[in-house]
Amino acid sequence: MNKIKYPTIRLCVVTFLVLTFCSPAFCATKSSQSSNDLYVSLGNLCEYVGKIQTDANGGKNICSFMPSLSMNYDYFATGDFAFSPEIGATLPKSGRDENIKTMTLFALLNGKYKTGSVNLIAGVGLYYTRIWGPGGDETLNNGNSSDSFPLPKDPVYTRNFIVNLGIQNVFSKDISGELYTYVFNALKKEDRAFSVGFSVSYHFGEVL
Amino acid sequence: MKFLAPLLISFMTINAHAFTLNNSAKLVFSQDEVTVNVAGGFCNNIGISDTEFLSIVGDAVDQFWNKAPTSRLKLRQGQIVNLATAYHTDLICTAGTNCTPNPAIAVASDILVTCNNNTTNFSSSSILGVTIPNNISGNTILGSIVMINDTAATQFDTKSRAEKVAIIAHELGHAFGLGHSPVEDSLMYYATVTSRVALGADDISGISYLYPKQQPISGCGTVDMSGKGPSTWPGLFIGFSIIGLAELFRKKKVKLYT
Repeated sequence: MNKIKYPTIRLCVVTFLVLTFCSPAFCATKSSQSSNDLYVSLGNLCEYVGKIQTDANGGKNICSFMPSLSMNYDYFATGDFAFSPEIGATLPKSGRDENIKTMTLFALLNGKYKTGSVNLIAGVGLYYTRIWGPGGDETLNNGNSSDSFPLPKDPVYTRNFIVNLGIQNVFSKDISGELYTYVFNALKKEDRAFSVGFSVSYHFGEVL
Repeated sequence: MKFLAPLLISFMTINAHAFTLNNSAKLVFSQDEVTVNVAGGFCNNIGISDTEFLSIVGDAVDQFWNKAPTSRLKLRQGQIVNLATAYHTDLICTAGTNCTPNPAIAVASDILVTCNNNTTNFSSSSILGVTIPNNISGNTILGSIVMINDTAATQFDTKSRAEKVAIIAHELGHAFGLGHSPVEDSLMYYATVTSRVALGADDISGISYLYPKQQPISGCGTVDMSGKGPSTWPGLFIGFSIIGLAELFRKKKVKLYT
């Protein structure tokens, strides 16, 4: 019987609280206002790290090629704290069965706390996985013989509520790098999963 | 040796479709939780007790299918049930048909795993299990039966416990609507492999396609993290938003008066 445990959720909540309320901006009446900022990120998302078998010998996945593209807008509520809504997607790719295609879409509302050149990020959002196939049949081994098997056709979307924890390093006025993790099913140990991503961002500044 | 033995896991041809789906009708259970029961008293040749059999079933659901992060389907270990001997001896399909389910062994609900010694079901000792959703209403699976080879020549008893877990997990995949996968790192590959420890990417895509998880935000109320029951996340989320906005307005107000 699986028991629901809460270490991850506690960690997420505590992190968010720390990021939010330990911000001097929430206590001080005076702080340096940062500029709002639109930026676009290109990176790679390593899905469900350590969760997927990758070979016949029991090896598990670490990271596979899954390019991601996303866009954020930092809206500074205070000098150090910004709301940072984000939308993004990964490029469509084939599953292990070449006939199956998947891609993901995500929409997040992050909080960002500036600490010098390093920004801490925490947020929540929705993560969609689109799965589809070509329809028709595929001939596969069926034990003692081969057989024709129907493939999926119409796309199906799964929708997960995720927690995002990340860190951003600002290299220059225009360029930054991010490392982040998406936590799936944070409340349930049995199907909890982590995707880890990294990206490089180009900042357009206060364009909105 | 790449495979422990060739063709160890087989599936009734008429029911076998890969992820690929169980069949073109996309048969699925309507409920999010499906119980897997074990028929008691029938396993004479596979060398395990009913209790151990049930334990293996429990591991099969927990170690594999319940770990798919994007699927709403959760399999639950059930209990040992006492059934008529037909479940131990009968054909899985009605004789002379293109595998019309045998009504004598229809499973009323959920999934039943039973040992079976019918040598027509298991024409080869290398066939370890056969599975069929055998109680269907429209596109909905009401009940499925998993038969494990309990003939005198069965090779199931020669497998390690981990292999038995994987074999039953594979058959459970058929029971809820999946067919075979063409890639060997998938649990739904037609044969056993050296070490099976987790679902493959194709398995996760397959179960998610049939049973997509939908974790909604419904108004200001709940975020369903588990498919049942409310969560505190929306409250936290809204609370932080209000705090942020209040701080923003406060600062603007201060700026206005200075």
